[in-house]
Amino acid sequence: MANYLNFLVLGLGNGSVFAALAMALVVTYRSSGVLNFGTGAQALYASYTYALLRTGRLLLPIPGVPTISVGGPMGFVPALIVTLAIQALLGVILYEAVFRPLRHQRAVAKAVASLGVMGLLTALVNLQVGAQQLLVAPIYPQNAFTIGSIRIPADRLWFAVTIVGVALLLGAIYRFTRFGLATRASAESEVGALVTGLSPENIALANWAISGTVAGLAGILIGPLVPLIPGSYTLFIVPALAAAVVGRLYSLTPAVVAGLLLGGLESVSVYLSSRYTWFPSGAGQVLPLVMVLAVLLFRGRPLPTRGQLIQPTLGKAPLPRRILLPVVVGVPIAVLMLVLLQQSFRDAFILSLILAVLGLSLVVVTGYVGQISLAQLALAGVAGFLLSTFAHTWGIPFPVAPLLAALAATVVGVVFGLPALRIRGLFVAIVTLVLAVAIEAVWFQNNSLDGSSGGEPIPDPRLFGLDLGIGSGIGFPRIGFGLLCLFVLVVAAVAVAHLRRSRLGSAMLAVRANERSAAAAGINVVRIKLIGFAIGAFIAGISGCLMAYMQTNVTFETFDALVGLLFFSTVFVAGITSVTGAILGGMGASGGLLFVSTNHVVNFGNWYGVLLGIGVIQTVIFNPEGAVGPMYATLDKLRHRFTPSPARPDAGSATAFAAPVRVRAEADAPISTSPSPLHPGSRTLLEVQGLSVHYGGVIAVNDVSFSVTEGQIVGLIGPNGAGKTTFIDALGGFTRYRGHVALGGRPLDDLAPHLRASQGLGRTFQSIDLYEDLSVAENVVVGQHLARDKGAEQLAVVLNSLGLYALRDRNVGELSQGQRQLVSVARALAGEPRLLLLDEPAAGLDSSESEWLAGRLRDVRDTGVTIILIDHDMSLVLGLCDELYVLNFGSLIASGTPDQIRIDPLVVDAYLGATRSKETVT
Amino acid sequence: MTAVPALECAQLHAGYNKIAVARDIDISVGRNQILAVLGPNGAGKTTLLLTIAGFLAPLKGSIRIDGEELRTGSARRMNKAGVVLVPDSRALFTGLTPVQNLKLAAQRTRGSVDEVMDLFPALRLRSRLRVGQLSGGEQQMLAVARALIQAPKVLLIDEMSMGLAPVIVESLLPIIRRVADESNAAVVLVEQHIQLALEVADVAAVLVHGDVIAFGTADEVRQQQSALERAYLSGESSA
Repeated sequence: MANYLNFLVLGLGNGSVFAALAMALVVTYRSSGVLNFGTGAQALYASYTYALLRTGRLLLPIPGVPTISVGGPMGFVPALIVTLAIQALLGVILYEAVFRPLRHQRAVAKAVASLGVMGLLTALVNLQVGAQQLLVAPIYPQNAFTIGSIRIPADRLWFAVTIVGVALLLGAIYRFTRFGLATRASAESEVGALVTGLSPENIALANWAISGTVAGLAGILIGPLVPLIPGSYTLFIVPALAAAVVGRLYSLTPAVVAGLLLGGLESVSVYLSSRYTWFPSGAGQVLPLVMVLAVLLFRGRPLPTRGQLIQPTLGKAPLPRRILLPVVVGVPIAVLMLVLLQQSFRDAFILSLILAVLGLSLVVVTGYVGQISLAQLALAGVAGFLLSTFAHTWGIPFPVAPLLAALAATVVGVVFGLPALRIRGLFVAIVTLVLAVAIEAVWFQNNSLDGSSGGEPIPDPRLFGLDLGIGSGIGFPRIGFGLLCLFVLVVAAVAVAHLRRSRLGSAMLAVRANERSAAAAGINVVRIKLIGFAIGAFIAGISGCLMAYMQTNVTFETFDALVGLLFFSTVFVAGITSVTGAILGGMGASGGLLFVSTNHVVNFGNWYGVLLGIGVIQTVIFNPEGAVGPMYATLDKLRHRFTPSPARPDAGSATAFAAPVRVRAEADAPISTSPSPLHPGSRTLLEVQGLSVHYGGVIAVNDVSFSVTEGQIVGLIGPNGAGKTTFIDALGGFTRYRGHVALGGRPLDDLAPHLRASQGLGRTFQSIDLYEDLSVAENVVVGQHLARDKGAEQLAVVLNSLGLYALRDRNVGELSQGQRQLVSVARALAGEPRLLLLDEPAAGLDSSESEWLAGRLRDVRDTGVTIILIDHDMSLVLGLCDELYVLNFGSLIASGTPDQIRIDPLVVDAYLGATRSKETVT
Repeated sequence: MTAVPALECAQLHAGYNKIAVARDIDISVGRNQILAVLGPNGAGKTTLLLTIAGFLAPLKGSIRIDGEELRTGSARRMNKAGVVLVPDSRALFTGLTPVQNLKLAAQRTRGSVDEVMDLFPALRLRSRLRVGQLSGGEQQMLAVARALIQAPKVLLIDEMSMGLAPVIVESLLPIIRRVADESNAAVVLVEQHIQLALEVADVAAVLVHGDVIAFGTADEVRQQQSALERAYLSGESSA
């Protein structure tokens, strides 16, 4: 028992670093919405700055001038103060140069930029001082206290006391000072801060200085305890992330406690693995994964985010118009290069082909589905190591073994991805990084070190007696292996390009753009994310097998988590949203053809990491489509110039649609074929009973009951804040409610939004929520998700019915407000709804457009679709609707025909204010 | 003394994503005056207010404060220039107390929490609670108080009545009148409740479909009562 406690206490050293970095993470996230992966690298920079100051040198971030003399070794206190000041300054610079420009960006984009910061700082330290270890003199006393049989080293204890003291100090600052109040205030409401005369940006800036100082302090104090090597310090971020997640990136206390605990448990696990042979070494690195997964399972809510007026896009995923042409041109060139290139260059080219396959897995997961996966290389490693077992140990033959290995990687990816994929936002990035580190520590390293130090052997691939191995000696690397890799790349690239053009691909981009509206279109968001993750993991697994074949054995270094981060950065800079980007990424990655040939001319050395870090940051800020983005933009421009805009006689003209267009197919329309909207005997389609919605203490919708007859247009009106949108959200399953909703007699109450959509409930959103990256037709195709077999014909009918056919290939970002409204209605119609909920479809339309829209909606109604309409345009509502319901303060205050509502005094009051107000004022 | 209006918008076009929601807005309001901006939902009133407050950049036109044209499009700059917004969401800091909310706002002007509390005695009773625990009416009072403590030159109030019972709105509006009379501020009041707004306002503008269809003294606008009702209830813009 005493041994366990001894080790627990020993772990206080690392635990203090985790706790401090977790605090720094919380401080930056809370004040600026940045999940700063670079926090560990900031600590690293502090460690070296301090260690060098003690030897009389000042570390400079200027390449070529690593250090300058400060006129003799500094004492502890001056070195500490100077280092902390530099750290505060570094925090300020990072915010000003990187994160202030990104302040309106999505959290995911900010996190990617922080990966760039992490790479940049780590590489910069490497560049300036090399990877050699620096010895740092002890800071704390080296004696130990003994309590019973437990020996507590004083340095660990003092370190922990210092960090807890910092935590208390920070807690007091945020609780009691004006600055602290302002920080909490600005974190809750940025708008509130601005109208209060506070500057959210200056508050964030100050918090970045604080977090830099805290990270720096951790880096200084850990120096004497843990050998100062760049890689290990940078990865302190992993347990720190786990600890910060325990505090939901918002609370300091849980984060600090979790950090200290992780350090202690990690140390105990080292003891366990030294004592019991069955206990895997490296198990300590699995603890962060366990902790994050536990938080996700038990408290799985999205991280707090900040509301924004305008949601930026993540970079377009260009539609590959031609697939055959690039293949026909590209393959011969690649074959020629395989034949012509010599030895090391051929080797690099083959590696590029393999890395391009790995890049494709990122295109699917990050480019299409919008999830940041930092574990793709680790998943490749899972397949690589399993390939050794399957092919070498069990003797499974060539094409089967790698396929099985890739499938196993898929299972691993999906099982660990599942808890994070259920939740929106940054969790996937956190879980995948933590997963990559855990797999490497507990599996790859153990396997590599077990038997032969050269790693696990892999037999050469053979097919029909052909040797497809990489070979050795004079023939190395053999062209046959290169052709195999090229074949795999071509298959994967064509598949990923096809995916982008498929319905599944559209669904993925819809999920990436807006999960809410994707669910409203009947898309099962979690399922699409999982499919994307599975496809990505499989492709990564295949590339992992090729890497294993290339090396003829597998070692953990190949699949190192930091190497994985570098590779993510490379593909991101090249262009993570397109196949071309993946291929360019493969060429440019460390060890790839572009890398090796450039290195041949000018020696990169550590410059590569520095340039890559800067590249990532500038890509996020200026060029989210990556290096290949401008190429696609140019192609688009050329295409527009040389192809005349498609002119169809019926295009866009309002009068061309006098005849009602039948949108809903007769076969599955459970309604009479000659709908007469106001037929008294018509059936009830929607039945709402006692529906109430509470937000905290506020009653947004209060006990509303009504029913809608099939084939009618029903208007829902009321003043701002009356609860109309909330009511529609409740119908669609987007908000919790009490009461009952039934569509066509079938209760919907237990169904998720996408299942309600599949029951025939279509809707549009007030904010329109189009997929800005997609064309008009692609937006509508997403809506077709529920009408699987209808295809192009139905698409044309729907586009025609709203006069959008001529615009079908335009990006929705270029359209007018009125046209955007129509696309949003078309998208809902494409799902062939029985009941269509329209939230302010006439907002932003002028009177004539609004009249035209009314005509189209009548046509839609005449095909048998029932409509519930919210709008402020009273002439539209009064002219169009068969029946009106009026909400005020969440309650139904009136209902009737437009003529009845027009003269209802209650309604007039609700809109204009009580005309008798004078009588009630005392 | 030639009266320079505290706020003057000239040919202002306001909107999102390059799409104008309110067009060609020419309005002005002097010190100690209340301008009521009226109109049905979706007419562009809130967009106009957000643009004056700097949260949205104007698509065209100019904004002058005390005769001086300001570089627009920054909420921080407009706030510093004395244009203070009470947003319809109120955007209070619900985790803090009312006094903490006010103290944060009092930083630059050194305004007195006590003086502002005098206007809203109900808030004084609640000063130790968290704002999240206050009623909707009390929160609205606090939102106005938080703006007042910044000694605004131009006070922009968006839909004070939203989500509040008419009785509460009726008790709030006279306070706004007092504020305009005593504090030297020009007030722009966006309201749906025509009657209540016109009772306290000096001048009024009616916005329909993004166009100003009437601009004049409150009395003049009140005369057009029936035209107003048509604008609200039928969407006709020919009032």
